[in-house]
Amino acid sequence: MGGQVDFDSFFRAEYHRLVAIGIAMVGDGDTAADLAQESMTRALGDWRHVGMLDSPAAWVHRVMVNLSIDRYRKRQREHVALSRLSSAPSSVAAEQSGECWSAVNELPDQQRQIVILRFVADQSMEQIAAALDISVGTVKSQLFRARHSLAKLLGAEEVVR
Amino acid sequence: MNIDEIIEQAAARARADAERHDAEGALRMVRQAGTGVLPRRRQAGRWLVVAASLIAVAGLAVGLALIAGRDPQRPSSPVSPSTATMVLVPPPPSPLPAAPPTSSTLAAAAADGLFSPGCVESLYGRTRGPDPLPTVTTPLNPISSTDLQPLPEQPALQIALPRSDPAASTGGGSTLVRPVPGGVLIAMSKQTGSKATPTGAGSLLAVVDATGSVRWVRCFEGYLAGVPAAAVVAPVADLPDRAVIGLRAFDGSIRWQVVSLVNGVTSPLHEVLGVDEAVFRRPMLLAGRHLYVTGGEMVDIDLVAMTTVPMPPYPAGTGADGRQMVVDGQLAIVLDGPDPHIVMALYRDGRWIQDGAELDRLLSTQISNDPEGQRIVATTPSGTELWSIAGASKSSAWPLANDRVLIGGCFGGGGPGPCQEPAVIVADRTSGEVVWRRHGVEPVVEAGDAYALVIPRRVDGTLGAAEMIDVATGADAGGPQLRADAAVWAADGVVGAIGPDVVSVWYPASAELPSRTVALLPGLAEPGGPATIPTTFPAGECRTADAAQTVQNFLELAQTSGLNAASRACALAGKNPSAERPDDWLVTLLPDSATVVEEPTGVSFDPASDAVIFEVRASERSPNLTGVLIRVVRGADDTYGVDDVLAS
Repeated sequence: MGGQVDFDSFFRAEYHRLVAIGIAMVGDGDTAADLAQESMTRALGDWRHVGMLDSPAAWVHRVMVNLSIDRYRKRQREHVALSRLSSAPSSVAAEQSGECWSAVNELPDQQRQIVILRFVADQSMEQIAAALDISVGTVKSQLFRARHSLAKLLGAEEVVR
Repeated sequence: MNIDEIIEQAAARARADAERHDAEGALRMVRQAGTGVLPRRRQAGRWLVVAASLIAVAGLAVGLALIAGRDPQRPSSPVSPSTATMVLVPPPPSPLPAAPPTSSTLAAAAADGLFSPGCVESLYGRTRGPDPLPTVTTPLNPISSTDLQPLPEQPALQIALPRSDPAASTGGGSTLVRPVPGGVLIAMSKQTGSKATPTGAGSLLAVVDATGSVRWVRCFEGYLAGVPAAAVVAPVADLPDRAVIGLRAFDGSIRWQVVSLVNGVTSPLHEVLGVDEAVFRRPMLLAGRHLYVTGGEMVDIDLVAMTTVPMPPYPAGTGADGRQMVVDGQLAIVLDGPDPHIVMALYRDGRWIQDGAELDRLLSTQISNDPEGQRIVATTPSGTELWSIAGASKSSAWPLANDRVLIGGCFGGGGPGPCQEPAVIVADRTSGEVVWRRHGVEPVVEAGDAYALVIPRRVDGTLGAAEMIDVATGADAGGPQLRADAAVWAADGVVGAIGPDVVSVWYPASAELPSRTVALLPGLAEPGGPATIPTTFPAGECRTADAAQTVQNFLELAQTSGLNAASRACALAGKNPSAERPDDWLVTLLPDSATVVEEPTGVSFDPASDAVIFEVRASERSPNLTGVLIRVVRGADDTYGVDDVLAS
């Protein structure tokens, strides 16, 4: 991206994507919004640095993913009761979404980060590699393993590419 | 569907849900937080006591446990005598600060018009006069604070809830119910504006005594933050007369309040704690006994004091992320390894513990899904695999007495679609030997050492009515069947079911409480009274249907009531007459008789044509249908039929 980015514009462009990441990872929109605000607060707090990055979005996505993982772990203990408290899923699709993200949350951290950044944040392999400070090859291999694991967990077909 | 399609579909849903959140309000909140109202503190290495005022918040940990039911993975610890007995007598109020009741600043017009009938405050001792506190003198002895007990057929309380006022509210909202001494705490929130673009919110908080009287009702502007997740923190053993609530304003800011469960008086949390209000102006998460104010720092509220706790420096070779938990009543920080099921270090008593044997002694065996293969695996905290179950995946695991564990999940029958072999098992936690297995039930709502509350899952994935089973044998334990359409919860041996109009609460049969009906607000019919169906709805607005909402029941309602189609559709939303295959009727009306669709995922009303539009998603059996909208209209003879398939 290069150059200083206006924070407010950046916020408006990325906020909903962050909330989506949070929803995928912690399953609760309110918590996701809290985490998104926390991520953005961190970005704003260091905006002179973050705003100059090639991809401030990648930076804040990574913060969001890490916060969500942390939050998810805390939530594991309350998972079952809360899932019932939050009322029955509004649809079969909602339940399937929940199962999908539950399966994603069973993955090792790095694979989970990659899946979320790839599918929810729509980041390219290169962007994910930059965000996580790993090689593109690692991203691809970890994504392959993640999809393999998810296919087993969800009883779905794998796509051979 | 292949795995990419499944994930992409879920991602699309997450993005759609995210769009409903107000970005501008969040931006204002972040801007406010970023102006340095609260200095960011990231220095590590010491525990810094900021304030030590006696506080009434005691119990975020226990409170969350109440909310969450029971910590499925926590180390088992004996229940202390002081908490082993549930007494339904509201305790005398412990002193709140001298601050006057804040109802004038919190109760707001925004709450008016959102509920039908409208929210009317009644603080105990103010509007209801100096009557003595209602008490229940029947102690529920002896009841463990964590164990389920046999339930009577009839609930002790059936509490009629206000509906959303169709003129103002989107109809969306949340309801949370938790047991408190002497009764139950009810928290409801409603939104104004459209569902997609809410413009405000209001909330209702009340305590209903087990005797069947409403102790007090409060009305607030704003959304009870995180309801039903974690924002209403129910009371704790040491100071059971109060709770913490978070009221989220529409701009995203949250006002944290301590509410007296005795009389409903609220006081700002920061005043109770004796700290600067700025402490709570930052985005904050509520988890366990801790309030997370900023990254790297938490506010630890234990039984008597509030402490800000910078994270200690992590030992070399461990990851950057720690998770906080309470081990034997003490705050601990756990650092996971690359494999999240392996604990690298535990911070406890001011030091890091990395010795495997000590970790295994302090933390309990983890029951988890092995992402590398379809199996359930039990590992010690230090990473030693003890046993596994091949071809299975768990949804939940509940530690039991005698070193046993109850696991709910899918045990075989892999392949596309819903789990073919949902089951609950009880196994030896050390050896993995299966003591018993019960097919066809899962998920588990709550499990104690004697009983578990489970929900039958049919092969098509739909859920049945919750029922109690004997943990020793897996056999039915009798008692009521809790409606499948209700959100079922259990805490402290109390079980409840939250329906759209009524909350039902069962106390253990040993309490021998009579069954009572209660109207939460004046003007509200008690359960069992004449049904109240709103007659007008905002154009185009209607609540999303429950998964179990059926077209069949829509028709039944439509043909037996004199209301317009919108009223019928909206009145139907949230109801669940639990038809076996709700889509069957719709199938017969579709132009393509060979097409099979799943039940509707949404319902809306087109006022121009007096038509109800059902959103139907495609199933694997009808791959030619995607995102179908089906228009059902009323004909000349006042019957309904499918008019058109609007999109595919």
